[in-house]
Amino acid sequence: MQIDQQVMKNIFVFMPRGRLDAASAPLLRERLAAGDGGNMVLDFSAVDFMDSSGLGALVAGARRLRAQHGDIKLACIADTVRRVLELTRADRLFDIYDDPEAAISSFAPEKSV
Amino acid sequence: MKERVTLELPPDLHFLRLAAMAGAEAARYAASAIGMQRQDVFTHAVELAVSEVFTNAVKHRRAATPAWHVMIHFGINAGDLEVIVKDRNPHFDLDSVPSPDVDAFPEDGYGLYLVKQVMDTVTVRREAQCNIVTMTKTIRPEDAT
Amino acid sequence: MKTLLVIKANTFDWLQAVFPDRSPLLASVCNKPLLEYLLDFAILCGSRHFRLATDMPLAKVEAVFGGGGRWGIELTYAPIRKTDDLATALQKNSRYCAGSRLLVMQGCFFLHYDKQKNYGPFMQTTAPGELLTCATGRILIHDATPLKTAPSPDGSPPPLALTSLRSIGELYRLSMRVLGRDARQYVLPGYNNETDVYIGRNVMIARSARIEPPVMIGDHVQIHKNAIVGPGAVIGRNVIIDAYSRIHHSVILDKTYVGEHLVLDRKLAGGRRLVDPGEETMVQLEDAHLLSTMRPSSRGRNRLQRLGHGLLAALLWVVLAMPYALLSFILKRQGRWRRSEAAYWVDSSGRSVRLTRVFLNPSGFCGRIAASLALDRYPLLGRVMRGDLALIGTRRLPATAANRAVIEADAGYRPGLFSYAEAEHWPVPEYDQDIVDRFHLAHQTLIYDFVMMVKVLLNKLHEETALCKSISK
Repeated sequence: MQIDQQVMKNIFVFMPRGRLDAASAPLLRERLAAGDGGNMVLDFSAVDFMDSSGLGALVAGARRLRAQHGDIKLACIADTVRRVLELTRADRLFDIYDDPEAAISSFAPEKSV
Repeated sequence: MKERVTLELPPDLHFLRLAAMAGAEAARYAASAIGMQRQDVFTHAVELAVSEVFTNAVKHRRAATPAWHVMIHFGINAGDLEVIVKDRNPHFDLDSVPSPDVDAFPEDGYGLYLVKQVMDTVTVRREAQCNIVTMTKTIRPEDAT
Repeated sequence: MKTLLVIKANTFDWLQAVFPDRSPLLASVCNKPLLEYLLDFAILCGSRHFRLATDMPLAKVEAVFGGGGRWGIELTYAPIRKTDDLATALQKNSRYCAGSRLLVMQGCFFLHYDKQKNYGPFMQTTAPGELLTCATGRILIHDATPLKTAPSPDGSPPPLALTSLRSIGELYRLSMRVLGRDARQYVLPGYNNETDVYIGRNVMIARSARIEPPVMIGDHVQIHKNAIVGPGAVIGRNVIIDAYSRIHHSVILDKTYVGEHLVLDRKLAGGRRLVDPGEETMVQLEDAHLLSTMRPSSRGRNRLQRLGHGLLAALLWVVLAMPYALLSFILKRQGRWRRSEAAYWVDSSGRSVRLTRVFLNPSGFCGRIAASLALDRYPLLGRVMRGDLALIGTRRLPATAANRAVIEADAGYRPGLFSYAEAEHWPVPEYDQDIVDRFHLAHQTLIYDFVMMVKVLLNKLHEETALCKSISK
């Protein structure tokens, strides 16, 4: 799996491409752990499938970031990803946007990388 | 109308996508057999369940054992699907796998929980040194979009 | 034009407090979910896109409404968090909301409108801002684009009003109002050949029963002999009204069994809960055969029944021994016979036993014979003889914590080798069989059970034919 990365308005924006499953979850975990805290937006527009392994990587990343007073927000999740988040009630853990720019703008100006 | 499709895959995550997508296609075929064209919920459920069970088969494999294949068998009827996944891992008892405490947002342990949520029935039995996970799902008219 | 509906769980606390196991998003007035009234209204306004943004679980709603194909619209879903206000909900759906006039509905309310009127021009020309408000919600227009200068509609604006929903009482009064007065303003479910009578699919009404309009009856309902339903009755789906009962000015929610000789007047009943909307009081009935006259179940009778079931099981065990031995051997060799074991609850005291399940492939000559004789159940006949199972009873529930809670909440659990619903072959298997099982359990005697067993075995003989017919529909 490929994870594109860019910085917009001082926020890390990651865009994983493909499936978030046991094969690709370790890469996501690694990329989410690589930062020094701060804020991130995960753009899911190119993710068509996520299972519990992908979810685990997401939850681990969020927990780590929030412990460092940062945050992670999700954008453009497909219905398949949404259903997995709902079944596990992990949708209560994340702010989910239908537009990555709105997710980026939602971070208060002082909370940047 | 039962059609049977069997895959034998090495217990390796490189084949995870193949396994899961085979599940999705089998589900699509089962749905199209009763004239249901869009059945996203049904298809996704099967794809997710196969992904989880195959992942478990790979994760719990003991490296020292001789090579074996994971067998995934689809029994496709008009409007319902039976999925059987067979591996040679040590015995596990479905009833003793704890459900995750979703309110505590754990980082793992969701796999079988998700499978039980999305599939109609899930059973595990042991036969000739193999774990056999059998899952069924019937398409409901409201699963069509 | 697009529509965004923002609903939070806390606006339904009043409903969850009384009916915690019912999905608030599917709360209904006259058997039509509140959500569907709003969908219909959005379509009347010319909206072809509808998004539901909520902090509540969406699986059940999505199972019912899907992607909106049934209404010819695109229906999408967006999760929001408990703490999100309207501004945040709009921001989380900014891509959806951009580029067109937006009708925003927020909160928990009933919207009064008239399906005969055209709301499109009105919605297009009204100035953005709050349109209507009530104690529990509001509707407003959002528009980033310049106001359309469409010709203003003739006459006064079409009828539109909001009613708050804060209690079961308000829900009840609304149901009575819609049924009794405003039914023609909405698209209501059911066949409506006669004024003020709406009847759903698969409804059985005994010849001696009486239906008095206005009345609304949902799908898969049984109304037994000499029952009187109406005037002013709303009966949900999967409901049984047993003999001699009378339902007046009352609402019976889905999946409810109303026992014999009961009078429900100005009440709302659902499952085992009975609400008096006037007094805003609620009673939970302990008798699992909800509201029924008690059928005395003395220990003597239980022992006699167990004996009777055991004897019949022993007879079947002997008679079917040879076919079982032969056919199971053949089918095992053909790979059409698999056994597995699982734990099931056997009574309401928390006792569980491991039962053998046989998965039998009914194709081929041997498979069909084995299925007709229900040989997949043969291994469990020993359990019937031992008294762990009844020969015929309610559906066997796997031993899980969730099922434990179901059994504890509902003392009417007598797991059988066969279930009463199989004898009835009604309703169709994918709908709730438990109501039918409960009805029969309330009426059972030893002779009754023997008759039902004969029906089960006859049904088995015709099962494959029935299955083929249902698939081809």
